[in-house]
Amino acid sequence: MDFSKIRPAVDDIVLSDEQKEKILDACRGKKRKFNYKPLAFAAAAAVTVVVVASPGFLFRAGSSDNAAENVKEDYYNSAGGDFYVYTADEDFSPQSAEENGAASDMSVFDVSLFSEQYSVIPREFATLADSTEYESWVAEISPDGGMALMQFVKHFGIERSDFDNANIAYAARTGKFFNADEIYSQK
Amino acid sequence: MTADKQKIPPDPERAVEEYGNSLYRLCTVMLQNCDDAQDAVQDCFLRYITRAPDFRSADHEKAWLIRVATNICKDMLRYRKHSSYLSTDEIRNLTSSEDNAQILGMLGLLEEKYRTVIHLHYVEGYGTNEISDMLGITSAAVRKRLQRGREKLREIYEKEAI
Repeated sequence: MDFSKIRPAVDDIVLSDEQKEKILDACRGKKRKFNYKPLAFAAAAAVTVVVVASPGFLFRAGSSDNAAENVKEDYYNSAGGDFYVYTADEDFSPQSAEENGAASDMSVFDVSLFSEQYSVIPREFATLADSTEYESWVAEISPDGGMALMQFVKHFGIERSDFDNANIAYAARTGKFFNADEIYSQK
Repeated sequence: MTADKQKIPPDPERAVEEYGNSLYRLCTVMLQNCDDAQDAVQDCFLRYITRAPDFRSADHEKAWLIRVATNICKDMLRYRKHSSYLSTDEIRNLTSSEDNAQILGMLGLLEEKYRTVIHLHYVEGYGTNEISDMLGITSAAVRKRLQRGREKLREIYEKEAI
């Protein structure tokens, strides 16, 4: 048996131009390093919830009600005063909403809840851990502990490949929710 | 500064042109299936785009790609439920002569661990130390696999000759 014949025997195995082009097409669709898409969707979700669901939230977040009122007035005047300018419902408060029996609909207006939005583990990741262990872990961690997802990965020793797959599924779900295809297809 | 100049940035078009065929041969020999081999090569270049380190030299780049390709093939083999062999027709399509077809067919009859080291040594020309780095096994294990692989190839050759 002449082992030097092995090399010429496999030399004929080559990729066709079509196969090479297919591989390059797949490469062109990939970004190097970190995939920021899921984070972008999560940030968009948080901003949307804050801005859309909290009437007057941005104005009332300031230290002075009078200053906010002045800004609104200036804006209204500079616009000629003849088109719609959003004004906050000054009488609104989460407590009064609850008293009126609208707690389930209005709970999102409670600003203190927003900090918890950053501690949520999306379901694609949560299902990587045993459900009983996960629930007991969730009960233990503090919502103010920060970076819940990082704690989750470390605590349950999630494999990189499993994390990446969950990340892709999460991006797909949030992308669908925010109709990302339509948004990104607009020029 | 000199070290920076020597670094090779990832360039998929150049890499596919330079190393695509080598990787495809290796994956075909390891997986014994052309379609799976193409998938493995594609996966390898996707990892090259997303995770490649700064390469010190062309040799470093090629060795990294071969290591990734062998790992991908091993993963694919692990999850494969049935053994796969290149069919006679596939072998004839891949090779240009009866002699080459016979040798490729014989390689396919070896166990995967022997096929891989035989390929890396006799086709890619790597020494035992380099192969041990690529496969994450000791040099002694590489030498043993080469020896056993050669013995088995001889056995197969003699049986076929009869």
